[in-house]
Amino acid sequence: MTTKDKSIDLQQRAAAEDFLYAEALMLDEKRYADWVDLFTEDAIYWVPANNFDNDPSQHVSLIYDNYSRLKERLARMQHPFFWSQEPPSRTSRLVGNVRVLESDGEELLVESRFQMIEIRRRTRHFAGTCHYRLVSGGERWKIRSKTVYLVSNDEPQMSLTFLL
Amino acid sequence: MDNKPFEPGLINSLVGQERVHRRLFTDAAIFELEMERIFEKTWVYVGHEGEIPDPGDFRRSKIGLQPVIVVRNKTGDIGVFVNACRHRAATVCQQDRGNAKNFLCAYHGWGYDLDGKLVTVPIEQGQFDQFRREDYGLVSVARVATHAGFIFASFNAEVMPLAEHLGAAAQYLSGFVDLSPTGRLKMQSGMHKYEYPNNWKTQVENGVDGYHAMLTHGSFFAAVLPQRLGRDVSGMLADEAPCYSWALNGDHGMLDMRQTNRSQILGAKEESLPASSREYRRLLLAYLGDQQKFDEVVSNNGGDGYNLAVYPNLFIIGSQIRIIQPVSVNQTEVYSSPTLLEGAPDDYNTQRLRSHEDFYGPASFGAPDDMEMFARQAEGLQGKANEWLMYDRGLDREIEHEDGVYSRLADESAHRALWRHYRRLMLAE
Repeated sequence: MTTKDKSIDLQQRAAAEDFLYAEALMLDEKRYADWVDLFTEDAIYWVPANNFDNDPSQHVSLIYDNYSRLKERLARMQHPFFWSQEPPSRTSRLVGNVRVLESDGEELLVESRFQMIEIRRRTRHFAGTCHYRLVSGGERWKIRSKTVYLVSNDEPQMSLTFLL
Repeated sequence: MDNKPFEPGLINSLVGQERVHRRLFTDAAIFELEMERIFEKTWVYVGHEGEIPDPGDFRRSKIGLQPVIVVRNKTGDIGVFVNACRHRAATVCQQDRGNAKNFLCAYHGWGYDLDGKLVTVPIEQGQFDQFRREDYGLVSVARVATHAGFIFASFNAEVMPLAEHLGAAAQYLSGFVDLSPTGRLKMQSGMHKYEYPNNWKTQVENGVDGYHAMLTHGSFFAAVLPQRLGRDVSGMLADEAPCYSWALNGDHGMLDMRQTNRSQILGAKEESLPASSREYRRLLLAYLGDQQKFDEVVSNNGGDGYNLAVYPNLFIIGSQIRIIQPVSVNQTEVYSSPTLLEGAPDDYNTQRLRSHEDFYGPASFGAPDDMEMFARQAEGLQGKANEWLMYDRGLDREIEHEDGVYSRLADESAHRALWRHYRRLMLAE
């Protein structure tokens, strides 16, 4: 259902923007445990491979994490033998084009675009679209799903072991 | 300078039994010679029949640096053609995979059918008077052959028969496909594509290297796997572990982990398995027809299985078919395609994909740390004063077998087989 009242739309979008900016900062500052805490326990973190509209049950993904695998990802990132991030990537990302696509009071579907630069041995640029399902409850929203549609997801890549 | 003119015979002094000179990873002249003497002389893997099941299906591939199209024609035969128009060499196929009725060069309009025959030439009356279409079909490779659906091609008309080339590796290509309850693989599930800034041979030897796992993949084996399985896994990679580094006859390599968890796989209690696994086992048993064959297939390939290197560019690892693609002396791409089992329950195949993503792919818990080591090697290989790379592990404890020789998991018998293969091809006139 789409909200009709313009002022509610703007409020919602501003709140969603604040949430996404805070998330982007967490990722650039590598506060990964805080980031994993943003997710609900039924969350899916998905980065499709090859194209954008495939079915993850039939098509390979770059990342298809449920919450327990997201926790494993965090545990690996915190281990001293995380070689592909020794030294760590430096990243800076810009988030924009934020739109609230759906809202029913309990749950928002938010779209954003991002551009980021990563520096580690080489300079790499990443860009894409993100879809978030945000659920209210408690003090702040939680992420029920985050999908990252990388424009380069069909190109040969070096490691993607920082977080998108 | 690493790029001075190069005498092929010099290879003799650069590849020893237990050591290899760093120049083989850094010298552009050697890389060029490898493209000619290895990739254009032997059998190269170019695709699997599961990728092109129907007439008109094609995939693009490469033999060394040469772009080719692998295509199934109207009668079901497979052709492999250089992806270059005979008029002015523009590519005639732009998609990685697809289905086509013909291949059109968009530069001047020459068109080719599924057999590579030239069928359209705009304003044909302008060609010179001896021009005959039949002389200008797409250039075909010299030989195409398949084993268990794996398609190999060669530019060398004198290449040895494929079965001879595959040697003792052939049975493991078959074993990989035998897991399917219809005998066929489904390969419509996409691929992971990696790139890394080092020579192609670093990934080739890493794929059968059992020595690196404990440390390179230390974060996975310490911070992920024990917690997930609820038990200690340190014995898995120990020197006493029942895992082996194989030099297979034919000079291919294998990291053999079939004995790991074999008893659990065979003795798995039905009720402990997810419904989709029970259903899969039922279907496979029905297809294979007898329990003994079923036990053999499942215990050999159904668990930790094997990492198989078919020289020079094909790997079987877990559920994936992997291609190592040289780009230049210090740049390589890797294409890793997880396969599904035709006829297996959907949930079972989905689990195959998730298991693949666990350790493979640019964002997985395994492969990125290998890529990191290749990048570190690339930097270290610039240290000219450090001339030799070592491959001696297990030399004194190899065991002979009718399929080749083997030693322990963290030994280098498999590596030595790959270097023997390298030497044989590079020194052949």
